[in-house]
Amino acid sequence: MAEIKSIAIANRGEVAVRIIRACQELGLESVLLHSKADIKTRAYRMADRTICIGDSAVNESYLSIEKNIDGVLASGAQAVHPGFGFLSENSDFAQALADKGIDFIGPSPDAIRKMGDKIEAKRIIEKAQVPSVPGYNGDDQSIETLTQEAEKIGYPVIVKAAAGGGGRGMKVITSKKESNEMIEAAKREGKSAFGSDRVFLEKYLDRAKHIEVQIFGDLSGNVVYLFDRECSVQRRHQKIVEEAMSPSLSTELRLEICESAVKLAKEVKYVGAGTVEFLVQDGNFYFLEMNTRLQVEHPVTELVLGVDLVKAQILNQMNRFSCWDQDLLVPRGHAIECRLYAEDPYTVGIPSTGSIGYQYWPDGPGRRFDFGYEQGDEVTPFYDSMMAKIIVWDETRPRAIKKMLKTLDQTVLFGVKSNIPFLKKILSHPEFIDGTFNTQFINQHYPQGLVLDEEEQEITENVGKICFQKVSEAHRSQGEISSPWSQAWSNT
Amino acid sequence: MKKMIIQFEGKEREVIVQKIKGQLWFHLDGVTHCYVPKMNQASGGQKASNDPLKILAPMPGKIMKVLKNKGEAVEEGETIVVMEAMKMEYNLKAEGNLRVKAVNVNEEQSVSLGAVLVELEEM
Repeated sequence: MAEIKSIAIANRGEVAVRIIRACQELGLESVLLHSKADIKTRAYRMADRTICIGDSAVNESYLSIEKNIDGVLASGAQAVHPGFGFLSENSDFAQALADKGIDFIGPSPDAIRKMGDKIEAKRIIEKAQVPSVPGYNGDDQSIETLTQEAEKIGYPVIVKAAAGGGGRGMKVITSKKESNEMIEAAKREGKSAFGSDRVFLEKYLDRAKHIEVQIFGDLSGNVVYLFDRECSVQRRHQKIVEEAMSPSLSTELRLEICESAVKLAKEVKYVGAGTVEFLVQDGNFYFLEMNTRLQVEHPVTELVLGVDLVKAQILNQMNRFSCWDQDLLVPRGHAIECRLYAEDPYTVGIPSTGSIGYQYWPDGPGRRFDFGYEQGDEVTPFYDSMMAKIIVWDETRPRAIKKMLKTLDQTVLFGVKSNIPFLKKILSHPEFIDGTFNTQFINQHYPQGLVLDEEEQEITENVGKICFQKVSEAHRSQGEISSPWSQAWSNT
Repeated sequence: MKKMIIQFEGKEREVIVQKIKGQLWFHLDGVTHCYVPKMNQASGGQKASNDPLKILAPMPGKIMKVLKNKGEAVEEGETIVVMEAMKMEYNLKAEGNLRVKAVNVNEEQSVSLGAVLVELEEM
């Protein structure tokens, strides 16, 4: 293992920025492997060096093992940080790097392979005696068999791409009528997003909470848990709001779930940061999946425990990490994360693209902004629509909710529509406030997304008209003064 | 971007404003608005059409699957086209019991916002 001096980042957006910050603080060089579309992004400007590995489409760049490997070799980096999504859970990528003598910052290719194939993962959890949801994970992948098995499990049934994650390749079947259509759709999404159309079926728990445990394994076989996060606010299985810790676990259940996660991680000799996801319903918990990488929502854990998971990942890889003592990991206060999606909140979340005219992040105590675009940058349709994350910490959950609402009020984003109005509605909902919400929250309360508020629309029209006139007048009068100074003045 | 004071409902209010491509974005009382002057309002617009006889692309993306052919009947709520954008699949559904008049796209084809994908007619 060569000494790590330079780290290549096989990712983009806000997580690339997060990794670059960690490299800077550790005195390591960062090299961003990016696509053609991502030249006007914050990560591109921040990285010490950049290498363009291909075209904008993900298959031509971020999802191409070959192009990433070429980029890493050209960069001379000794290690690669894959972030999340893209190739972060691709064991072939980790293996290809290992073959070239380059470190993959994450678990071994073998651990990724085992946990990444959700079917293999199920076999392992049985061995570790972690409870799981009833389902079908057989080799016979014909539509006929899958339909029959779905019938046997009893609707509602969820069909998932075996290689999936992030909500892609997942469909809920509520009746026999939809069975064929949903299974085919899951297969297609799996094929297009992950290159495999293998799927499995599971009983769909209809009022479960999504609770996950952050774990971390060091090189000597130590595994600790960094407590839980609740991510039950989801739309189409895409998380929107996450918090640490869950507002609804008893101390006993929390301990049981956390210890299960550690047991599972030890079973695959897990190294680095990982997350074990569970569904919790009626005081029972069921294994959902393990994500063998950093999670999008890792900041809430960082804030309640005062740790830096990305630096821990890198230091662990460098064999310079002394693992946290389990007894000294004591959560304090409450943290909430909101994902900012570039979308029109009034059209069931249809992506919004365009260039960012202006953005303002209202910083203050206990507020953190992880973002990947700055003024003038373009939000393109090629990638996931998550633009940024806002994370807040406060001493209690009610205070954290209030802080988040204020922060969202004060955040300004022009040029691209965002889900901020939707986030505010979610955080103000009585079920969110009292903590009783489950994974059906969005489906139940906002099946059509947000409905346009007439009063608000009136403000848009009335105030918009006034401001439009004022701005246009200002432009005109600027045009009339043709003094040599006018150009200079308008730049100030 | 500029801050300006305006008179609204008899009070002086501070607004953050910016004109972007004919639209006026402003932030007032914790809410961001996007005002489109009447003369700039394009037909079709950002969201799916209100015309049930046209299935429009609600976003730029790729056609994954066309489930109905010309002449076929569709029930309300039935999926006609599956689109992919930003790595998520979207089902575009019929808004009434109708018949397919024309299919204007092929699978794998990339389409732009507002493109008419499928035309329908009353049975």
